[in-house]
Amino acid sequence: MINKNHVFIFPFILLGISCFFLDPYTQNIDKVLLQPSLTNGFSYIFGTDYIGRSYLDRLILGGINTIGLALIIVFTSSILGFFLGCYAAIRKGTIESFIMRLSDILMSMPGILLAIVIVAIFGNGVIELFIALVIVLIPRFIRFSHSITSRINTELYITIAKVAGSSKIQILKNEILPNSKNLLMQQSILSFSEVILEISALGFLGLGIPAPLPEWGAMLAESRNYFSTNPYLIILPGLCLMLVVLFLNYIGENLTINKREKNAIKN
Amino acid sequence: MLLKIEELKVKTEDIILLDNIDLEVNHGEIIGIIGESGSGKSLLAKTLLALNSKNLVTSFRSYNYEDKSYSYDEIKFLRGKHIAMIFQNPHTALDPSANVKSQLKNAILLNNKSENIEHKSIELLNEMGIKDAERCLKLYPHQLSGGMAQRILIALMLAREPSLLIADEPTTALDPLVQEQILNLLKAIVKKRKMGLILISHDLRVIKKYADKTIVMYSSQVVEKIETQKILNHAKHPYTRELISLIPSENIKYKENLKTIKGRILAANEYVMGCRFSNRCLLVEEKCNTKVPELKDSTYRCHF
Repeated sequence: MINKNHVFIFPFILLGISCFFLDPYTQNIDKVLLQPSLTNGFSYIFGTDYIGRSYLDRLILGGINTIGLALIIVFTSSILGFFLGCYAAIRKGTIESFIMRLSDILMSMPGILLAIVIVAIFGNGVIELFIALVIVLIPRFIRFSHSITSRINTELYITIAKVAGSSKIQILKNEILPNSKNLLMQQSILSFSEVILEISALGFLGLGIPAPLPEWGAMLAESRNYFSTNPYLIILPGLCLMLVVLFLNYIGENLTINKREKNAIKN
Repeated sequence: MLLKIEELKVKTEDIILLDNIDLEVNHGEIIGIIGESGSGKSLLAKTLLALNSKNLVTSFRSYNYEDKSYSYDEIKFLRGKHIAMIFQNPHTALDPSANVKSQLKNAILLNNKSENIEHKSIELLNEMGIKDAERCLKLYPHQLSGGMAQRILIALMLAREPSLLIADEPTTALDPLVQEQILNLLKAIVKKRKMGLILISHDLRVIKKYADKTIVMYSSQVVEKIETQKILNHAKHPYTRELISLIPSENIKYKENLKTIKGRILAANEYVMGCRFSNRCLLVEEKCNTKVPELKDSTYRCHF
């Protein structure tokens, strides 16, 4: 059944369909820095940027780029981090301390700085950005799933599973995964909005998604010079960024509240 | 002979936690182990399944299961299929995120991949005395009462048809009425399936009613082994006799104090030269403090 949370999916479906009709690259010299207005025609409804590209199309495609990339990054690093953290917690000993100390080292550096260093070493591109942000994000998931798994590992039902003769993989599949997936989900959604901000920050510094591809942070950066004459160039991508992060946090919060309510009703 | 262990020792680097324990279990036999907190009952149960943490050193002269000898590392292959264990608090022993059906499914699949799961789980639950089994399959652990949860736990363990069940204080967390039901159920199952049962408890009345043989543990040692029928009149060790005298009589008066054994049990890290019960014993003499008593005729550990 559809409830009010599912409504959030429709804007994304619209975005997905609309990207077939977008044209964010064509430069129109006679329409440079057009102010947003309803009389411009649909594709220029939000005006144009400093070389005459449709600002609406660039905003939409920028959003798809940022959100899509952030989604892939969070997905990859949560899966990888979960398994590394679980492995460390179950195996214990040298492997555990190796994995955990490595992630401590990575976490001790400020995320954005680490990402800048990695991008500076490997060069500027989508793959490099992806690698950099996965490296920034993964220690958090390792530590997170390590602590959850260590906690679950001391529970009596794990002993029961052992007594019943389950192997370690069966315990991981039947006990640890189902009991940690909700917490992992919340952590992922919280990280999701953070990753979007980081992609934009790197884009603003010119280290993000490379130039012809539209991206909100880069759009903010290249409109800085027109700030006083054409403020919409800054306001629109900034507003988009803010709304997306706000909505993501709202969804994350909703998720936790719903879970709590459900548990309360069950009990 | 179902299980026979000789000279079982568990220790850390310098502290002895279990001291030379011999244990024998036959088919269809209920062995009761009794002792106060800290005497090593639960540790013994865990050691039988090799569930001890890695910093404990476990050694034994022999561990025979159905006339086959096992080393400590091989014991884990006996888990589930041959030896199963149930615990004190059934609610924490069940996975909170899965309903009864999927937990039973996992247990049954471990045993036999081709089994009809629906049929088998209802059969198991009926055997546990749960009448509306189909409704019960849909419930989550927090929706079960204590007695129900313990029954489900027993069902989970019996799904693999083990021949020895270790029950580590199975009824301590339950109220007396349910306690009796669960213990009767366990007894019936053990007799019906010709299994062995090691029943650990600190309630002498439970042991007296259900066990065939009783092992009394005190401060990491076995102090007495006796047929349960004889325990009331023929117990030889002073600790056992004290315990029996402590059972409150039925015509106890209002506000009358319950009797206790004075003093406290020695912790495992407290070393004494002689008998470990000497600080509380009523019969204590000079040699009790200097000489360690042996297990006489392998039945009781006392100088007298």
